[in-house]
Amino acid sequence: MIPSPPETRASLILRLPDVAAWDEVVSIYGPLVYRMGLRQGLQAADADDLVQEVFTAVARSVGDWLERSDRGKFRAWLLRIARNTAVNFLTRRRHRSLGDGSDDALNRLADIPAPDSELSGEFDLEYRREVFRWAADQVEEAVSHNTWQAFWLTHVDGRLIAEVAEHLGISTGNVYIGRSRVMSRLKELMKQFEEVE
Amino acid sequence: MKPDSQCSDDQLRILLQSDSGEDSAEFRSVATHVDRCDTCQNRLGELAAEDEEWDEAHEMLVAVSEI
Repeated sequence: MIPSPPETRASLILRLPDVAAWDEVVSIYGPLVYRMGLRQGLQAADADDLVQEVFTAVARSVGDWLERSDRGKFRAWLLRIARNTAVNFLTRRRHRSLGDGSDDALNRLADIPAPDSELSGEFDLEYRREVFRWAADQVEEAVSHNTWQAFWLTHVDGRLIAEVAEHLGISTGNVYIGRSRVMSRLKELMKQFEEVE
Repeated sequence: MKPDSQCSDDQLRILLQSDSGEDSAEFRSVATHVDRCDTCQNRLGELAAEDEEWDEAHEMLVAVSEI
């Protein structure tokens, strides 16, 4: 299970200009950072540590950020903090693992460590995936079961329209409508998210 | 079937709008048309999103469903 961020106490959150943005970002960034850690080869416990480190950094810096007159958007600031902390954490681990003298250190030395810019790119890709995941959850909650399934089964699972229509007991036309309706909402949500970044 | 007056983008957008109730008479009327019109079935997908947006949604959601 993904740990809760350490500093989400009300006194801190209530000072923020946008409480909803904090909640949204925590729900997106926690899993994002965790999964990024896993994709980078961390064990679950280490990925937990990474999440803790990111949110500790956020909690430590948010006071200073609030005092700044040129602070800009909250989410953009959080993205920078989270990305930089995650990249630093993973870079430290890579360097440490290459020089730890363990039995398979020689094998690991043959690996080429990814430069920070590459990790940063991976973070951005993971972030985009996580925003999609968030948007998909919102849409799934808002539409009927068949509408959601018409989209997911045909567009994500790659099943044929006619096959899905039969599976769901609806017409092929309704499969087209359902998948397009979901896609349109996903696009709207992604656009909204990008506009407030 | 041949295109008719219901094969218009404005009509089809009724099906895509998030505030269109699926039980409304207007929605059902257009949906019934789309059910028998190949042209509108394809056009609906084009109005929902660009090809690249469909492709990105596929790529991203396949990835998130794997972990």
